[in-house]
Amino acid sequence: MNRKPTRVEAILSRLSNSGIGMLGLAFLVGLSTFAISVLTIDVARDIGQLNSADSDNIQWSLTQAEVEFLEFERDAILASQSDAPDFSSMRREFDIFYSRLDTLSQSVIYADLRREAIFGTSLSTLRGFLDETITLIDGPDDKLQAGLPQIVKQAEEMRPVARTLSNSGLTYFANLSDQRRRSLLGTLSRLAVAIGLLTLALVTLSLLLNAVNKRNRRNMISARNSQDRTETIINTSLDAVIVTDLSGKVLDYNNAAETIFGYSRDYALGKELGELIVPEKFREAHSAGMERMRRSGERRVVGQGRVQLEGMRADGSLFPVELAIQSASTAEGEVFVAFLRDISARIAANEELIEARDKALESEKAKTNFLATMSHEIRTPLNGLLGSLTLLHDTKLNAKQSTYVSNMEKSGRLLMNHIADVLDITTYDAGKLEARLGPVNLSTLFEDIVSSQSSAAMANGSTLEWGWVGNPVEWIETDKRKIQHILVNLVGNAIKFTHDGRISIEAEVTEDASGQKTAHLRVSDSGSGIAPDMLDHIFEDFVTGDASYNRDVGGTGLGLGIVKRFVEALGGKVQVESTVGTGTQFSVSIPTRIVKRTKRTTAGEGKHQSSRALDILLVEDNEINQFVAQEMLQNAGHQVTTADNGEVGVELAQAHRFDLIFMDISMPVMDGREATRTIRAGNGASHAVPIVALTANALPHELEAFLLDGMNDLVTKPLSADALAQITNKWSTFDPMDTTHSSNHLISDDHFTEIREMIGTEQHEKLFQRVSGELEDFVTAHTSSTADALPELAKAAHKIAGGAAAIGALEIADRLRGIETAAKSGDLSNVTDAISALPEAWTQTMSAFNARNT
Amino acid sequence: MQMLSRFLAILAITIATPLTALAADFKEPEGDVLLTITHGGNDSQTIELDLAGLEALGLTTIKTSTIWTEGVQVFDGVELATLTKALEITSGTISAVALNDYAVEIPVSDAVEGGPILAIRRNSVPMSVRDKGPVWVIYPYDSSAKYRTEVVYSRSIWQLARIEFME
Repeated sequence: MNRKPTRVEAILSRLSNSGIGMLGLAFLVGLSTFAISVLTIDVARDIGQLNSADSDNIQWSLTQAEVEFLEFERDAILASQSDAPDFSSMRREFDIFYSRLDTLSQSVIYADLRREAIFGTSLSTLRGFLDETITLIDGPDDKLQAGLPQIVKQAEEMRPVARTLSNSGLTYFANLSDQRRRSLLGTLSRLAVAIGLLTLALVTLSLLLNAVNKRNRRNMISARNSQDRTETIINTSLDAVIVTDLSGKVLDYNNAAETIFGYSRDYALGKELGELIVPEKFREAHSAGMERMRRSGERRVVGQGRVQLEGMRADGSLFPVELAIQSASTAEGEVFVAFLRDISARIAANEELIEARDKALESEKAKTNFLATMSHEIRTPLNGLLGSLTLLHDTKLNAKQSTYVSNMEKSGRLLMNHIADVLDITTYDAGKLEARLGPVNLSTLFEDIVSSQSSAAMANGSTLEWGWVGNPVEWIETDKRKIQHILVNLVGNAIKFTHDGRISIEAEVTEDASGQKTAHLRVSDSGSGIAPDMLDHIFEDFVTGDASYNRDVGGTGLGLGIVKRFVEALGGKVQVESTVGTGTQFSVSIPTRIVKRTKRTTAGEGKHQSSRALDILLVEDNEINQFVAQEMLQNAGHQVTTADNGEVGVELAQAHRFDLIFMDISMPVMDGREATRTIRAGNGASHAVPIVALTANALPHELEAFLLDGMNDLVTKPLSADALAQITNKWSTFDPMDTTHSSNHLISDDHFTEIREMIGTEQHEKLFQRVSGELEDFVTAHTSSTADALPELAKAAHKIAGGAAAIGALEIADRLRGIETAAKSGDLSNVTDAISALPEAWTQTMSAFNARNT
Repeated sequence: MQMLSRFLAILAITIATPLTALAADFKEPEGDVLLTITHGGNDSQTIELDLAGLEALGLTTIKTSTIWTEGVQVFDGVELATLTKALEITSGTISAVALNDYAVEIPVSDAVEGGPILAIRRNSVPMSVRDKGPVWVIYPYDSSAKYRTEVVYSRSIWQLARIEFME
């Protein structure tokens, strides 16, 4: 079958492919046949002519002429030699010769011959002789006898003429015969050519037909094979294959269709597809779709790829099918081939998968929640323990007891740190670790860390120091708590692994070509170093040093894992270089930007004691924590009312006006957030009092939510006396009802001091004067403002508010922000009122400034 | 024996009688013998006919052209069929010999009514030897293509002197 076709077959194939080739050959055959017919007639004629030419009769007649002449001459000679001759024989021979010449002269057979010069001359000569002799022949015997010598003499002369006559005739006919033979030969040659052509054409035609036949047979076999294959494919297909005509009547139905739909092929054939497999509820839509397609040819499913539908089995049960329909044109008109796949199993598997994923997610969430809850649950009693220890520490203890308490406190704080580590990891892995960016003074941060860690370093015989590389850049924007945590972990590690060595912290801020600032924090030690094979793993969770060190130093193995997570949360990188026996350097680089310094957050020791005594509501469900906080606040001189849950807190706040409310977040009955919202929404005595959240571990988004709920601030557990003092101090002056401001508020102490330290007294005063001038201009320009000017007024107020805040004129800054807000909301009368009040406030601020200046 | 001899004799007479009667159809020649007819095989008989003897057999006229003459000729003569009928010959060949010893064989099957004649007159004139006479076998050439063949032409013997019927 795969034999390469010969050249002849290729040509035949081409010819048989083109109708023109076939037609041409048929024409050739016809032409040849016609030529052969014509030539055959020619040949028959030529042969006939040849027959006549060859006729013995003609040649005989010609020869006979001479013979008859000679017989006459012989008789004449015999007669002349005889004494008493009998002339009858001579006369008869004369007559016969005469008749012969007569025939030659008259017969049409010799008409052409007579035109031959030699023959013609001979004939007329002989006729002359006859005419001359005839009188003697027909005369009496005596006269004939007398003339006999003369006749004999003449006959002798005539003898060559008779021969010439005979010969020339024979030659002529011989030539004629030759010509005819040649002509016949030519005709025969042409006939042969025609027959050859015909044969060739017939052979070609037969080959051609053979080729066509072969090809047809091949095509037939191939079509049959193809059909067999298709049938095999269809019948072995796992998908149901159903063929219908335009009306939806089933024309074919394969094995898989029998299995999937439960109808036998015999039953299904000829049935309407819709009634067979379309669920009743969709049947109307199906019919409408078929009708639409028949009418307008619009196709919504056919040729549109795979569609998921519901199918119906013979027993009426429904199941999901995937359907693809293609249309095809056949001799019987357009048909539709539908491929249907039972996807129940797939859908079930999908659902199972989704369920499994949901379960996994749920379980992961549950794990995270569990960890968070557990650490919270551990921390809450630990807070109580640590708080109680603090309180115990303040009681009268002997030296031994004091040491025990101190040790207990250390252990408690270590435990607290471990819990915090676990919680940090959990938070990060839950995707909830967010950077809380704010201004951070790196120098202060380092100082704090060095001072807090020095004793630990000293215990190992090591020194701890820090310094800047390049120009000091103190205020940067970053997440203070995370940076602190990173450094504490790194420095703590360095201390742990360094004995009688040196630990140094370096800070550097660099700027790249695009102006992006990067803070580099490097912690180097001269400790034992890390083995190269460990370097790749040290940032992984629960990785601790080798066994010997492990015994020495301990730890959860989460420290560097937290460092890495925090650095990444801040968008930075952490790297480590180490040489065993020489030391290790951790380098942290974090993108940042340089910001202006803000108010100092540090509060002086004992400063909180100076704030006035407050009437405080403490809402906290944990008995111990409530007790600790209460003790701490009361020790600081405040009056404390407690509530065990939010609901009780709301009731108390409703009835009595407190100066400050501390609100735990998670509580039974009513949590802190809801309680806050309720207090703020109501019109109770304390509805406008500052509320501070007590939380173990607030995330940035949680903080925002707290503020939206109406809380004002947040303090993180475990509570410390310092932290509480800061908060109470901060909010002791807050009184939303109070419109008069203490001189304290006119100028921020912190700002005053900070700015003076930073830029010097002279510059500070200049700055103050500049703000003063801008403010006067603003008041002049906007005292009698119109609604149209409000947007510009808002802008100007915003700008001067920034300047006022920078120099610490908080009262003026607040008022200007109030004006900005009112201007933006279009409240012209409030704006005008506020502006008219500005000069007086500014005068007070100036006097406060001057009072500090001196 | 005697009886048998007589029976055979009677039989012989009975058979011989038609021949005698036949011979009686042919007139004994009085003038020049134009044609000599031989028939009967081994026990051959010869009939000699003069002009009157031929004419007595009844003449048929053929109007036709020939390849040896110019124009249409009128020939009168005895049909060969008449002769074969008279002689009761239905098969075999006729050997015809001319004065110049030209000889040709004519199948008896040619002797049909409307077929060849033994012409004795051409254009109502008896034919001399010089005019291919005295007897010339003429076929009706113009009547049918089958008479315009070389074979027929060759059978058209002139100056006919003798014919012999052969088995």
